[in-house]
Amino acid sequence: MDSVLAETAAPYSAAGGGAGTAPSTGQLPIRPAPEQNLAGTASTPAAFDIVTEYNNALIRDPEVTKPVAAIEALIELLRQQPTTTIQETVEMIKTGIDALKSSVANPIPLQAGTDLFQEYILRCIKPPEPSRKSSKRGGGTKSPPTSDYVHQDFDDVRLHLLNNTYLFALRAKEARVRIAEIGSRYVLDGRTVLTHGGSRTVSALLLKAAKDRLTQGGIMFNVMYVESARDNAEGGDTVKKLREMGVSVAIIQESAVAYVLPKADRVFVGAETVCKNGGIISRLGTFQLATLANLFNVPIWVAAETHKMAKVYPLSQYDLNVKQEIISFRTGDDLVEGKGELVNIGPEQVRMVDYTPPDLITNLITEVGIKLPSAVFEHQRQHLTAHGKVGNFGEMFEKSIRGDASKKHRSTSSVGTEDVSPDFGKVSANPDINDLPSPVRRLVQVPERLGHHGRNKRKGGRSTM
Amino acid sequence: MAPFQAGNTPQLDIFIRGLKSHPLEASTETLVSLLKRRQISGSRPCAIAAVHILRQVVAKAPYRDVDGLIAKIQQTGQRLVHAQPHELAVGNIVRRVLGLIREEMQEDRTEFGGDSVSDLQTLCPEKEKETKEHVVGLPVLSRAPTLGGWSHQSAPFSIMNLLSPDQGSGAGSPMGRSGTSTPMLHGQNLSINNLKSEVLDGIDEITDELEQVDDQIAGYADIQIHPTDYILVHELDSTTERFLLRASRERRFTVFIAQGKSTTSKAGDATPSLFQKKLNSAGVKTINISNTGLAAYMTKVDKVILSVRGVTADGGAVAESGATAIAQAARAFGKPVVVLMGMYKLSPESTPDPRSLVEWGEPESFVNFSKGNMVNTVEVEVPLTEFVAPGLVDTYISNIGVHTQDHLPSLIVDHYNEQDSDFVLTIPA
Amino acid sequence: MATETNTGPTATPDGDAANRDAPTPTQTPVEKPVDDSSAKPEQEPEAKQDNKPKQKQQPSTAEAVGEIPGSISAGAPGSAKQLSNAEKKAQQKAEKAARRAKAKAEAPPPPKESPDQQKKGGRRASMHQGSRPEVKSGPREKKPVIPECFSHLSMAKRIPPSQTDKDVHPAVLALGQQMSSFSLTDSIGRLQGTLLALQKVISSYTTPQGSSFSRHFTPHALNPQIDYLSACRPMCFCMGSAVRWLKLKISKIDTDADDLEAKAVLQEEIEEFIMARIALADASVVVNAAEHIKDGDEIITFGSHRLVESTLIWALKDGEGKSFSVTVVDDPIDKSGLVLAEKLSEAGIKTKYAPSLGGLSTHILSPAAATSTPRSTKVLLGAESMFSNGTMYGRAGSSDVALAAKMSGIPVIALCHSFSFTERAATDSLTYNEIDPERCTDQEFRLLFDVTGDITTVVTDVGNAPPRSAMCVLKRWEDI
Repeated sequence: MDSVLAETAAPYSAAGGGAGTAPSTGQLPIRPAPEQNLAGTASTPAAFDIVTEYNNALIRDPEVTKPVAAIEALIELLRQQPTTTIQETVEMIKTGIDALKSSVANPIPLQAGTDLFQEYILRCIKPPEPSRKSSKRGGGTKSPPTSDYVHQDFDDVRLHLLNNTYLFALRAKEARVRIAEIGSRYVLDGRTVLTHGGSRTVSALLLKAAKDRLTQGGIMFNVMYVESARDNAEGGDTVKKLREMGVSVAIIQESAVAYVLPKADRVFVGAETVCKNGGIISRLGTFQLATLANLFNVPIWVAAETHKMAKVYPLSQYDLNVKQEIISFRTGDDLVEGKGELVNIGPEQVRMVDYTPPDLITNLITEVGIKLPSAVFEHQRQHLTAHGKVGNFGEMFEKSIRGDASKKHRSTSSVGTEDVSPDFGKVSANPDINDLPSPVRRLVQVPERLGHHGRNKRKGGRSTM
Repeated sequence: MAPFQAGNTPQLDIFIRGLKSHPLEASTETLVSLLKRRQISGSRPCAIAAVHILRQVVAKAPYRDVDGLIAKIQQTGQRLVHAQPHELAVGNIVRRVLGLIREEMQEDRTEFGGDSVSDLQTLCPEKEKETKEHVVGLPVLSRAPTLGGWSHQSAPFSIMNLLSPDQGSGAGSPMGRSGTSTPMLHGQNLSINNLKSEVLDGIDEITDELEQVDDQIAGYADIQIHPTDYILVHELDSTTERFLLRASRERRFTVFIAQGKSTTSKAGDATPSLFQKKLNSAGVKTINISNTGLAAYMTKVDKVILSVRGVTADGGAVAESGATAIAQAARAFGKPVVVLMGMYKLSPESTPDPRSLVEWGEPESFVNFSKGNMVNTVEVEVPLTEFVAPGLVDTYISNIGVHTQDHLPSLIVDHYNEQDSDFVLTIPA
Repeated sequence: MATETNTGPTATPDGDAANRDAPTPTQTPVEKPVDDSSAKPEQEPEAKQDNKPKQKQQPSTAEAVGEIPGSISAGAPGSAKQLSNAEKKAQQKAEKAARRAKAKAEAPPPPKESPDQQKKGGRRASMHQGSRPEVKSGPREKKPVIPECFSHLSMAKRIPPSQTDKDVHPAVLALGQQMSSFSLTDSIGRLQGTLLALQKVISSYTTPQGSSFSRHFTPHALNPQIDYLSACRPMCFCMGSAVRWLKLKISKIDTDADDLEAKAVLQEEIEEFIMARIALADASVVVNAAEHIKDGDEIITFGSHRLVESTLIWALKDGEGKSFSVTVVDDPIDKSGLVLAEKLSEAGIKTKYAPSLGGLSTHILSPAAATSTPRSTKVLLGAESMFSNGTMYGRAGSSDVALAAKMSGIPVIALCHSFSFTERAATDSLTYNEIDPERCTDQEFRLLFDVTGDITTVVTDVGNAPPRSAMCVLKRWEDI
C-alpha cells in the first residue's frame, strides 16, 4: 500500500507496452495481468491520456458525477483513437477502463459509469438473437460471428456516442433534477430532516423542497446538516442557499448524530455507488448514520441516479476494493521511523467511503421513481436476461470466472483467438460448457443423460445444475 | 367500522340491479351518494360498485375514440374517489379499467407493427414517444399533495437510460405522459367498437376476480396455518373469514379474534357469529380477545393476520385502528404478520404522509360526554383506521400468490398502467 | 403514630422532605379503604361469636407458608406443593359452596353485578373435578370458559356470604366482596384494606386457653381470612408480601406475651406499616415522579392509576406549577382513563383523550402535523408490580403502550411502590396474570394484566431505579 502514491502519480498511457506495466503495482483484483498484455496489442496513439481526460471532465464541470465523467472520458477515447475492428475497440476500452480504475483509490464510483458503457457497447454490438445463436452453433467456439454485420452496427453506435456526449451529461443532470422533484415531496411540512453533508443530489432535493414552499406555500421544514470535520466545506454552499430560502438549518457534528437522530423525521443521504444488492457505497459515516437511524426507527432514504448503479456486490465493509486506510495501528516506533505518515493518495482519497447494506436502507430515490433496495438487483438481472439470457448457470459461475474473465470465451480449443463477443467480466448467454475456462470446466459434472447438452467428456458425475 | 360482509349489502345489490334500467348519469349520481353516505362501504363492496358503474360508462357513455373513453372513465372515477376518498379500492379499480383500455390500445398498435413498450424504451432508436397533451375535456388536475410519488415505481428502471439514443428528454418523465395516448393512434382507424367489446370483456374479468378473490386467497390457508397454531386475527372481513374457514378443513388450530367492537361492547353482549360457529364445528377453537392491547398474548401467538382496507405501493397497510399496536407487538416478539389483500386492495400509489389515509371517527360515538365540561376541555381523537408502516408487515397474500414488500412493485406494474399513476386522488387533509 | 421516626429507612432524604410537603396525595388513598370498612363495625359482634368455633377448625393448611394461597403464584413451580394443600381446601370450599348453592337455589344474588358472576372462576374446581360445579350452576348463568392455554391463570370469584367459612371475619368478608366485585381494584388499596381488616381481626381475637397468641393466631385466625380473600380474588403481590411480613411479626411475638400485649404490638406494627409503606411511600413516589415532569412536557398515560393521577396533579399544583399537557390513552373496556381525563381537565391540565390504542404510534407518539414538535415526550405508567428481572406488571395494554413508546424513542416511566416489587420473575404476560371474570365466556376473553420490559425507569418511594436493578429495591425493603 505504500506504493500507492507512486502508482497514482504515474498517469497511465496506453501507448506501446505501457499498458502492461503501468498499473501492475496496483494489481486490480478483478483485472488480471494477462488481459492487459492482450490489451496492449490495440494500437493507440500516445497523445491521449484517459486519466487526464477523466480528471479534466470532473474539473470542467463540478456538477458532473464520477460515472458520467468516466463515460465522457471513454467516449473521448473512442473519438481520439479510431480503431478498425470491433475487437480492437473493445480491447481499447478495456485498457482505458483499467487505466481509469487504477488511477484512483476508489474505482467503484467510476466503475458504475464504465460498467454502463460496457453494457451499452456490448448490447449494441451484439447481433440480434437468432443470428447470435446461429453464429454460436454454426461457427463453433472458434470463429467470430459475422463481423461485417456487427461492425456496421457498431459504427452507428460509435457515432451516436461521439455525437451525444453532451446529451449524456445533460441526462445525468436531468436525472438529478427528477430525483429532486420526486424526493422533495417526502420532505413534509414543518418536519425536520437530517442529511449527511456533501451529496449534490440531496442538496438538489432539499433546495427543490424549499423552493416549492416558497412558490406554492406550505410550512418550511428544518434541516439537520451533518458535517464531518474532514470536509466541512462541502455543505457550506447548500446550507447557505437553504438558509437564504428560509430553511432553518442546524449544523450537526458527526459525533452528535445519535443525539439528534430521534428528532429527525427522515434521513436523506446520497451515494457514490449503488451496489447490486441495493446497498450503497457512500461517504464515510453513512453506515454509522444508517445504523443509528435504524436503531431509532428513522427512515433512511438514499437519493441516487440510476447511473450510479455498479456491478459490485460487497459483503462487508472490508470487501470494497477501495484503497483507504481507515484503521491504522501505530506504535511509537512507527512514528519515529516516519512510517506512520498518512498516505496521501491524491484528491480522490479525500473522500473515504463505507458500505451501507441494503437492509438498513428504507428506500432509494432514483430518477425513475422510489425504489426498494431490492429493486436494484432485480433490474440489473432483468437487464441482463433481456439481452444476454444469463441463466442460473451463468450466475453461478459469475464470481469464479470474473478473475479470469478475458479467457472465458477463448475456449480451450482456441487459445489466442479472440472471440468477438466482448466480455467484460460477465458470463455470456447460454454458456457452453466448452466456453468455460478449463479450471472451471473441471468443476462441472454433467450426468450422462444430459451429455448432449453439456458436450462434456466427463460422465456420471453429479449435476451441479 | 365498516361492515364486512361476505355477501353484498342490500344497497349494493339494489344499485347493481338498477344499473340496467337507469340512465348512466342517474346511476352515477346514485352511487356517488351511496358512497358518500357510507351506505356502500368496505373495500370489496366499493370495488364491486365501482367496476359496475365503470362498465356502464364503457357500454353507454358517448365517446368517439379511445381518448374520449379514457376521459370519461377518469371523470367518473374522480367522482367516485372523492365520494369516499379513504377507500383506496375505488381508485384502484378505476385505474385497472384505465389500464385495460390502454392495454387494448397498445395491442392494437402492436398489431399495427409497433414494438413492445420495453423494447421501445431500451432499444429502438427511432422514437419520440412523449407527447404532453392532456386529454380533451378533462381539466388539467392539480397534483395531489398527498398521494403519488411512489407511483413512479412502475416506471421503467433501465440501466441504459443514460446512454440509449431513444430518450428525447433524459430519464423519462412519467408525469408528462399522464393521460395521453400516442398520436399514432389517431390515424390508425382503430375500431372503437372492437376495443369496446374487448374492454367490456376485461371489465367482466375484473368482476369475476372480485367474486373469486376471497376463495383464491383462501387457497393459501393451509400453507400458512399449521396444525396446533395459535392465529391472532385483527378484525374479520370476508377474506379473513374465508381464509380461516378454508384452513379449518385441514387443520386444527386456535384463533384469537381481536375486534374493535368486542373491546367496546359491554360484558356479556357478544354472541357467537355464524362464522365462529362454523369454525367451532370444524374443530377450530375461537377465543374472542377483548383486550385493547394484545402484546400480552404474543408469546402464545404463532402468526398474526391483519384484515386491511388497502395496501399502498410501499407496502403500508390501511387497517382498522389498533392494527399498528398489534403489528408492533408481533415484531417485538418476532411473530410474522400476514396481510390478506385482494389485488384490488393494492394501490399503485403511496403517500409521503400516511396520516392523510386515516379516517377519523366522531368522538361522541366513543365517549359519552355525560359531563358537559369534558367536551370543551378535553380533546378526543378517534382514528377509525390506522396506517401500518410497511416494515411491520412480513407477508402479503393476494389472490395471485404470496408476496413480500419487495414484490409489490412488480405486482403494480402487472396490474396498472404507469400512465394512470397520476389519476388524482385528492384526499382532504 | 409515634413510630414515625422509624420510617427512616423507608424513605430517602428526598422522600422525607417530600412527605412533609405532600399532604394531598397521601390522604386520598388512605381514606378510601377507611370509608369502606366503616360499614363493617355493625357486624363485629357477630364476628366475636364466630371466634370460638375457630378452635375446632383443623389447622389451616396454608400455615405459615407466607406464600399466598391460591394466588397468582399458582403457576410458579416452586410453590406447587404448598399450594396444593391450599387448593384442596379451596376446592373443598368450592364443593361445599356448590352444594349449598344447589340446596338453596333461591339464594339471593350478591349485591352488585350480574348474577352470572357467582359461579365464575371455579377454575380449580373445574380442573379437579371436571365441570361439576358448572353443571350445578343455575340455568341463567353463563358458564365461565377458560381456554386451555390460559387454564393456568387465576380468576376472581364471587363467593356469596352464605357460602363463606364461618371463621371469616365480617370486615374481611366485606373486603372480599369488594375485591371480587372489582369495586376495590388497585393493589395498594387492596393492601391497605387488607391490613385494616386484619387489624379488626386481631382486636377481636382471643387466644384460647393453653395456647399462645403467636402460635395460635396465624393458623386459626389469620389463615382463614387470607384463604377467603384469595378465593375472592387472587392476592396481588404486595398483599402476599404484607401477609408474609405480618406472619413474621406474629412469629416474633414472645410466646409468653399475653393477648393484650401481643395485640398492641401487632396493631402498632400494622399502623406503622400503613403509614410508612403506603401513605408516606405514596407521597414519595409522587414527589419523585413529579420531578421527571418538565415544563413543556407532553405526557402520555394509560388508563388511570392513583399514583399517576396524584403525580400529575402534584406537578401542576402543589409542586412548582409546571406547565405540561397530558394525553390519556384508555382501555375501551374499563374506561377508567375517561375519569382521569376529566379529573385532570378539571384540575386545569390541558388534556387529550384517546379511547383506545388506535393511532397511538401513528398519531399520539409521533410529531404533530406540520411540526417537528413531538406530540409526546414521556410516558407515565402506573405499575401493579415490578418483577425482579426488571419487567413491569401493569394493567393490560401497558405493554403495548410501553412498546410503542420505545419504538418512538420516548422514555417510559413506571411508578411503583418499593413494597410492590416482587422477587418473582416474569418475561412474558402469561406467567402471572388474572382473567377478567366478567369476560370469560366462549364469546369473550380478557386478561387483566400484562408484562413489559420496555421500561426506562421505575420511580419508587426510595427513588429512581433502573428496571434491571429491581432486585436492589426489593432487597432494600426486605432488609427492614
